[in-house]
Amino acid sequence: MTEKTARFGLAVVLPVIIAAVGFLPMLLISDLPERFASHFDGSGLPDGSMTLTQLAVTTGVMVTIGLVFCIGVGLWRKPLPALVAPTAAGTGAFVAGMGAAIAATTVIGQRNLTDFNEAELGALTFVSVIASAAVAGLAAGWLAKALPTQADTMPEGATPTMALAEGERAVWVGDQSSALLFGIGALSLAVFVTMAVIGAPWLAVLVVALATVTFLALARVRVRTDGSGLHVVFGGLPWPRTHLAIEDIESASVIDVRPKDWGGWGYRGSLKLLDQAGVIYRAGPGLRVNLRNGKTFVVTIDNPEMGAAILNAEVARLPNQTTPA
Amino acid sequence: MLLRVDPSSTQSLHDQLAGQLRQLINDGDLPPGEKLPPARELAEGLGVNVHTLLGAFKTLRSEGLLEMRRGRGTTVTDAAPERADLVELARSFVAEARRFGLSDDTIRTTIEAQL
Repeated sequence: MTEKTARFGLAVVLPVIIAAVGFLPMLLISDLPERFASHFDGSGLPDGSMTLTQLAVTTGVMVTIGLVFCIGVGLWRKPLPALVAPTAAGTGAFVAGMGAAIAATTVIGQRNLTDFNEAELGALTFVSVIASAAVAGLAAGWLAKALPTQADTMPEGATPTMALAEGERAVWVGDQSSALLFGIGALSLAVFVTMAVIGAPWLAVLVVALATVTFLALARVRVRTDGSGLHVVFGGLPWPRTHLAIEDIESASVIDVRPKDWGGWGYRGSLKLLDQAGVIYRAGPGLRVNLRNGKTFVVTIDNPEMGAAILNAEVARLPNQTTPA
Repeated sequence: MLLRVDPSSTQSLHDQLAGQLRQLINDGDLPPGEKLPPARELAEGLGVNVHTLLGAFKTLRSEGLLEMRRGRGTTVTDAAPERADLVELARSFVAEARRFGLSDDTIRTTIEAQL
């Protein structure tokens, strides 16, 4: 998928498909009822209605607003922070897809009715609307993946290495804390204590307790590099963890991380879905790992030179390495 | 922190690890109060038995350089920098004495004479 194809898909193809699905039924089907059931109560029976014009306008607004984001991302010239393009385009397409699906199912489903009160919202209709919106959103998100991000333009750093004797093994471990997460965790702890003391419902107290544990655990990240590759562990939690096997690594470098490239702090992106991921806890020195399949992983950590050196040295002495083209 | 081992070296893994830990403390890479990463993770990364690494930890504990507390992990003692220098002096002394051919008993007597 080239950037050009992706832009064409986002700015033209997908919007045309969504608009056609939404509005062709209104234009092509003759003899439509005067009023359509537009709102249903809990048991699927109509309790509100609209004229065709009102239906077209309301769903039209949904589709238009959603497509503004989808087309906008497609036409945006400069690289956006990592994640922003797929998220914005995906959400926009989802909303537009939903508007179009509602319009289409309403018109097609109720075209033969004489009285809107006879309409029924079946489960199938409901599911197909959600499914269509999801498909549109995922398609846009997938297309937007092909667009360059600011994380792509990260300054390339030094790729240190070290001499490892035959049979020698080395391990490097670095720790990093996020003051922000610790602060939120402390706040959460205070809320938990207050709620427990005043006798709040136990379920709510339990939820806050879990949230507190999560914040405090995620506040510390440990990075380890050795002969098996890169390991990232959060506060001792068994999940989520990141392990990049040495066989999958092409090189490691030291870079200066700019959170704005990643659209903010935290765990940004996804290797599986977006080909880029970063554990961004602050601006400054970080370890960047380039994988053989073209994906990139970044983690902010102090003194990453040793960690990068171990990875590069271990990659260099892997047997039967085919150099990438 | 960085640790490395060479299984083919004449020096035992324990001695290599203990020596590196002392060096890290000496150089200030492991400052007083610093908590070491879990032994399990370090041992896994080095491909050594965790008990070998713990043995090195315990040696440094007996030298007053590390503290090992249940639930708190292994930390560098506050007195570590000074102690590290002394331990290093002791090591050199013993090495030198052995080079002269002194037996361990004689070495002990020599030290005790100073106390």
